[in-house]
Amino acid sequence: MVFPAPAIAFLLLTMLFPVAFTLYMSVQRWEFSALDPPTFIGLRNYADFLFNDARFWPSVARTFAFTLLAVAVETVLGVAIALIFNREFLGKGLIRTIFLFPMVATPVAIALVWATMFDPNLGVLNYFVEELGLPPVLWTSDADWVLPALALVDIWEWTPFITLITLAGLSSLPSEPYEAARIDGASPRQILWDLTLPMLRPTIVVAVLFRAIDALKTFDIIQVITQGGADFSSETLNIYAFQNAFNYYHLGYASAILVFFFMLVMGVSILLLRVRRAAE
Amino acid sequence: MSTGTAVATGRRSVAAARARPGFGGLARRVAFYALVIVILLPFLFVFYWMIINSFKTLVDAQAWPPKFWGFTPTLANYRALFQDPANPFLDFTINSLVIATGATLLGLILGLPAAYSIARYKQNGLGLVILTARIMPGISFLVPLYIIFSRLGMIDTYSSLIISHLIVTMPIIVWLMVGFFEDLPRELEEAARVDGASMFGTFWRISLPLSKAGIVASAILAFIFSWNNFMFSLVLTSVNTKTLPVAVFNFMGYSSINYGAISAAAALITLPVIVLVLFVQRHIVQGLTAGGIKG
Amino acid sequence: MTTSRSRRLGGAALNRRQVLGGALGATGLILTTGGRSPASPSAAQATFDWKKFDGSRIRLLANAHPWTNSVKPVLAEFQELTGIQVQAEDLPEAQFRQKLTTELSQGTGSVDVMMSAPAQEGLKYDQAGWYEPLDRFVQDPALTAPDYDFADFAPRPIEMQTVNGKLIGIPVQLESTMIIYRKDLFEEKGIAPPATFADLEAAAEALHAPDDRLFAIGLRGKGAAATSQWSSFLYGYGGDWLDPAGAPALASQPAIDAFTYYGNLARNYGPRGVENNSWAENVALFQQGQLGILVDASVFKVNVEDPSASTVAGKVGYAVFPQGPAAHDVAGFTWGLSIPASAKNKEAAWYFVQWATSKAQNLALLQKGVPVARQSTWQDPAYVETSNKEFDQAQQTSIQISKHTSNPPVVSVQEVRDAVGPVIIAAIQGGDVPAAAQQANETVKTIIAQSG
Repeated sequence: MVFPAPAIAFLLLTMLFPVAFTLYMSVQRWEFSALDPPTFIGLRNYADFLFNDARFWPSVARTFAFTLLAVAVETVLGVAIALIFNREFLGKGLIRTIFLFPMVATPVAIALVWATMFDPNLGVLNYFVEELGLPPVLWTSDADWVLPALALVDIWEWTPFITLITLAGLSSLPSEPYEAARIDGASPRQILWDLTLPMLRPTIVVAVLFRAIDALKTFDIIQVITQGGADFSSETLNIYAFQNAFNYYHLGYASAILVFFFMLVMGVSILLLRVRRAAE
Repeated sequence: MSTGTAVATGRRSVAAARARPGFGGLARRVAFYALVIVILLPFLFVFYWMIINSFKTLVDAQAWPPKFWGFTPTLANYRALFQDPANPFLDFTINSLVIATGATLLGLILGLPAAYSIARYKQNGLGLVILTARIMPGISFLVPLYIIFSRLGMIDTYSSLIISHLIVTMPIIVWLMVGFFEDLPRELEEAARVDGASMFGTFWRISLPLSKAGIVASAILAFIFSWNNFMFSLVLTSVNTKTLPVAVFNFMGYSSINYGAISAAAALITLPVIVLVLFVQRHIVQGLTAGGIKG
Repeated sequence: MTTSRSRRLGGAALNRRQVLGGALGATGLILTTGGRSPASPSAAQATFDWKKFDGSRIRLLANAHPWTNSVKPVLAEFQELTGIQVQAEDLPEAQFRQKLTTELSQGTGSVDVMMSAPAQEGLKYDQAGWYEPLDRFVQDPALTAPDYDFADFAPRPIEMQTVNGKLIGIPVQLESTMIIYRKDLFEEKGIAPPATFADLEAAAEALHAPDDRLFAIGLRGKGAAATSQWSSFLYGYGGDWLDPAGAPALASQPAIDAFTYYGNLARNYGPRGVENNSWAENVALFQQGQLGILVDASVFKVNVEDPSASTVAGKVGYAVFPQGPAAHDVAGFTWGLSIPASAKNKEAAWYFVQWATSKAQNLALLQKGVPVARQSTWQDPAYVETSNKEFDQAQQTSIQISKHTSNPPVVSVQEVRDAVGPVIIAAIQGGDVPAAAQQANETVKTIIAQSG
């Protein structure tokens, strides 16, 4: 097969070395020093973070909590909005265009705008909250609020993606089952739950798969808005690995965490691919 | 192309027809549009806030209660961006354009045949490798890429940036195009093969022209993701190839308390992407959804 | 989290006119003071060969800092004087460190001059073999201009730029924790600048009016970022990061007192959500007139005095950090220019470092509001003419009494700061401080045992 050869060659070239380097580093101790070359320490890095690091497991849990929260809300909201928009009305094309904006806007820039909006004293979000007569929210300063706040940014960016994909899925559904259902006198609610949603499932699962991979890997918005704060309560695996590599100079340790992280994302992807196959 | 066309032309499905408001539905129609506006508001507000703040002085931008309108607009934030001789934003924009274009074109050259063979010959192993590229955490590339390109003496060159951005662009192109190629009617290709066309000839003369819409869509998305990339650009650029996100982030970084300046920089970098989307939105929707449905 | 350690300017430095104005100011001074600057040849200069490395190229990697903003527009002057071309690249602090670490670790010699803050990374960089000692350049008359006057630098910043007995950088900026306060509000309430910790708390109590959106005191609350400003309180209670034997002393009584006092102050008289506030958030609040007192680095004077960014410009007073129950000490901090051991053009790099830290450049910096390390600059008539005497006084006294930097004297500075941050947050939230301190102390013990 010659067709994919250039692509394979490229991927091997650009990915093989980084993968090999990360694997190699993950069994070394190296602190970026020019004087002390890496020393082989076996699996000690892995053992250390698995059994001996108070910040590691909480960061795993946060990674999943952030992903679950963001992707669940995106899916429910995204599908719901698609069902609402699934009719002909004036301005539908315009709305589809507007819905593209959040996901193509530069994440670093958008994150900075959100950071200014989250400010507990000067930010516009608390102005709205106070206008509603509610007590101000501390957003990124509050250990309980910071993950939902960051998830909110992700939801803002990516709900439209689910909506657009679902809209396309809706428009390509076959019409026969609906006619049959109408003859049987099914209620709109029954049609939605027993017909539309099951038929949409393969589409939604694919969208969820890609969202889940990206949400697990979220880096830009957390690094810009909180850098893992307040008090580590938004420190996900990706952020923790970055801290270890570039702020603590433990490149070996960070590499081991990255290997673990990679396997984790891979595991989730395979799981979702299974679900997808089952759905089909 | 069937799926894509269906979406683009907004073919009414039965489900859509069923949901259509009836005769005396003026009240319902008003309620519907009210609902649409409520849904859109949060998405639009962030952009509104970014743009409006970019025209405020620092004092206005940090004012309490926040000023939604009724302040004296200033261009000072944009002037500061453009007139700083140490920050040639035009150069940064050109760098970003060259790199994103290069990474997109190369991504197409490498990605289209790969996507085609995945779609036609079920090369799922290759699909898995490309999925792996998507799964790898970005930070695990940083040090290795620097090592490779510094040993090759390619730091701060367009080539190194284009190659590194391919890690971002190629998987997108492949992911979207597999869906497109799978939708192509096989009959045309088979007819061409019967007429004696080579495999490559079939791909080149039959399959590619039929997938034009998908190619445009995936190219645009690849371009946008390359344009937005910050991580690889940061490590591999220096003074000669600095891209817009790195430059703008730098500007935001040291003025991180200046809401107006942050907003101007954010608006400046977002604007080209938004304009691009406005021109080609139909293709993107088509591409995203085709790729999304087929996966 | 290193971003929070930043020393960057806000809107002030962005204004191009001001930048150019500063540069012009500096040029004007060179003319009037006649030949003190290396840019204008004098009798003494005639013997020093500024063109020795004509045609070289050097690369500068810098933090996006007021110093960088100030020097970038005048790089052409350096090139004219020496014929050395400078490629200057600056990035926000977190990205700057990431890139510098990556490049230095490969030893490819890609960086000739770098900005470095020894209190943050001095021991680490020295351990990694990244610093070229500068003593030999300073002492070499063939490489250092006769009017450079190294002795003019205050002893304290030079001490801070000396790591394991080697001079590893020349300071471009020198700051300390300071009391930055609203003069008008203090007068209104009839209170004087605080001289002791008790005064500080009393002043905060008198000023605090959260219902009118006036919070008495801006202290950093964001974990690791807060440790640098908290450290002055630690020293005031007679504590230190390590005990004389080198073991962490963060659960000692002075440390617990400092955590508790700091946490109470922030909780009772601070803005809401102070746990995510670093300097940027607090400076913004102060600029908006929502803070009575800002306890932070003296370098932020330029932000609060910038009329285009601050609603309180001209109403600001400055006082030395107050005396603690056990000592009168305050944390100092300095950024300097260093030469990596792997640099390819060390001599040309040194030419740049000495030009950038010359008297003329120091004056230009100080006139833009960046506190500098040369003593003569603070007395220069061109500066004194328009300077804020209260600030000058507070800055000079701070440097005189300062016996510590703002960071722990260890290799793993950031890791230790991250470990101590939670204690500050526990203190702000009214948690169990002794238990949190004990836990942090154990963590720090492990970190020091592993990495130093």
